[in-house]
Amino acid sequence: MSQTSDPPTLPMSAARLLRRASRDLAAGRLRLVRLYPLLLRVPLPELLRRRCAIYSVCDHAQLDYGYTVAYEKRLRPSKQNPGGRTVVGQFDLLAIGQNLCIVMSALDSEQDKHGPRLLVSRAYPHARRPFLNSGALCDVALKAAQDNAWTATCVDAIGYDRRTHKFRRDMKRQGLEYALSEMAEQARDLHRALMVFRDRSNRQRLRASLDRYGAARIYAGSAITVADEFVLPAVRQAQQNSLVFSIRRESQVAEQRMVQLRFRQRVLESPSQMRSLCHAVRKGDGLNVSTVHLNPYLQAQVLDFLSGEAIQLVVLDPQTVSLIPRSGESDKVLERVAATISRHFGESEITQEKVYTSGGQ
Amino acid sequence: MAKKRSQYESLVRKKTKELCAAYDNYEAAVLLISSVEAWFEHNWGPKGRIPGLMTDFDRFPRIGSLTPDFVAKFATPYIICGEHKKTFPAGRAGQDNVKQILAYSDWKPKHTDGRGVPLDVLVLVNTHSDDKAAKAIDQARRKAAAPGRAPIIIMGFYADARANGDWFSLKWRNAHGNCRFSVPNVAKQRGAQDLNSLLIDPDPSAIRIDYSAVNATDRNPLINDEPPVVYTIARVVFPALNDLLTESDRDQLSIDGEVRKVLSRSQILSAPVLAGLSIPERYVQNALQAMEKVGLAHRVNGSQPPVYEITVNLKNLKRDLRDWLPEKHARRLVRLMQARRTSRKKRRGESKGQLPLFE
Repeated sequence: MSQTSDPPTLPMSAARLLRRASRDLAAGRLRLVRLYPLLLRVPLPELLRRRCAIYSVCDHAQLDYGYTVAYEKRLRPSKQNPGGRTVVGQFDLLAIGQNLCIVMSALDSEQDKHGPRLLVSRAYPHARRPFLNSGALCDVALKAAQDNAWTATCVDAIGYDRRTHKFRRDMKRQGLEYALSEMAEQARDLHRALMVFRDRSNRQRLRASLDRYGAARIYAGSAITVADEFVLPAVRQAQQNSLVFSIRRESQVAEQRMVQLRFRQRVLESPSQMRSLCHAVRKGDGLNVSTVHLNPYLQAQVLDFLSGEAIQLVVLDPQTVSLIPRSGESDKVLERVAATISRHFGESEITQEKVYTSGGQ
Repeated sequence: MAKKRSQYESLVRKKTKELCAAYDNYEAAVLLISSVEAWFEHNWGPKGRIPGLMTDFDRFPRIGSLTPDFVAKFATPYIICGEHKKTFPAGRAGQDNVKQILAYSDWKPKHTDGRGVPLDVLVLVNTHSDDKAAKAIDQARRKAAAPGRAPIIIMGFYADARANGDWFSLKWRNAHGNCRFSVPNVAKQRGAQDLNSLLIDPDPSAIRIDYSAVNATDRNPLINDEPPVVYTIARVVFPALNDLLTESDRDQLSIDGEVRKVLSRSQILSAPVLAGLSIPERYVQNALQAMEKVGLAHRVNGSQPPVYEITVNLKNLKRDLRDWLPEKHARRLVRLMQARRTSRKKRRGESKGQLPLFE
């Protein structure tokens, strides 16, 4: 399935469902609505067929907007619940074109964690979550505010600290761009921002959060606006880099290309920093990262047991991480590793380069 | 008990260190040969600076019973037979190395029309012992003089981290009859394309460890010597295993967090990721046996040739094989060693017990 077809737009049937959710939010029947975009590599029915076993019981039905999924998940005994317990819920999958779907849920946190969020996190390699850097996240939100003549105020911002590898939140009311620049000064990347949008008469029009995966939580306002002006533009932004990752292992060594992630600072100067890079990549499920060489440079073999693809991760200069395909097709693992590095290690500029430069020695 | 425990832990640490060193030494050898290959390709390969001078670079040559680390063939015609030695012990300990290198220099390569092709033997030895190597080879050459022996060039090498990247520095010493490269070598016309002016005259010369060299180690993770089992598991068996899982295996791994795969060594060697590499079955068999010892695989009962059930789980995949496997393997080896020692002691005790106490 091609990842770079026409830009996704919201179908009427999906819009109807979102409008109903907005009405329920306004009437207080729902506390919040969550939207998780998923870029599909296989058709939606196949994704459901391959992943419904993650639940103890799963029942899905096709509707005009996509699918509705009812699930039951039996959880193992824990300290709090020695006898184990069962989580039950229902959520929807909105089909947006051929290769995008939005997982929509109005469940509480616990049900959401073991229901739709579990599907989203286990969908790889049949589908993947888009990933955009914090600058792009900020641009998407500000553009939506500008288009509607609203002012955006960030009321709760969560940033990923690149030094401690932990999240830290700021609950200061400030402009989104100020939140972004403050975090940049503190070596943090803006990961999620809860924003309040007001119109010229200072009336609250929308209260929603958006994160780097393009996922949104709507607390008040129109779910259609959020899907149309926040989630879909975020997906488009994330898809812009897809072509960079479409490289494979070439039989001719001279033709081999690689993906390079270039950081603004010299973040990979010591072996311990290189180790923490490997550690960051290891956070992805099914990824095996074995160090081949460490100090003074890094070479690691990355095997993705969920997609069957393999690449090598090379650091020859302290500002650049290079990903070289080892298996035939490598786009899935390249995209995944680049997103994992950006998420856990820091954001970078992503380019495609040639491994061999004639007479380069 | 505590003393026994600490003794065991110290033995494990020692063994782990040994296994890690074996892994690193083998990897360093692969990197050196790959860097030389990339340097030759850059300069004279089909897409190199002066394309077409080098016709072939073989990483797994077989010359009768001899297995040098590489053979580079040039259109001149000219051949370099290369061998890498991390150390070259002096005296009797180094005699096997000397014999091996003299055997390379006795090789008489022939053109298709029957004419002889000029040959040089290049020996890359760490600068700690290149002098000893030159001396030992020179003495042996004088002792057993043979007509038409190819020149032997001994070059010392060391890894050199410079401000502009990582390099292998090469040093040629004018002592103990160390030879220069034959002329002409890589090109018919002598000039810039002369190995003597490129590698011997600059003191030291250097080969860069660049992306092409690192990529060559990935395309060819082995050299013409048997790798340590930990290295084979990490660089050969695991990539092959990743290749050989089916779609349903991967779905099961994602959902249940574990999958078991039954594979034979020939199936492992047929993995697409290993295509084009002539890896002896023995290497994979040894690796599978080691995996069985550390609990990563178990042999299917009565299977002949042996078939192994290998367990892949998400928890183990999170570990770095380079750090985790040596320790796990060392624990097993130390336990085995201690068990053998205990049974030997027991046997000795039993035989003593059979003797009459008083005669």
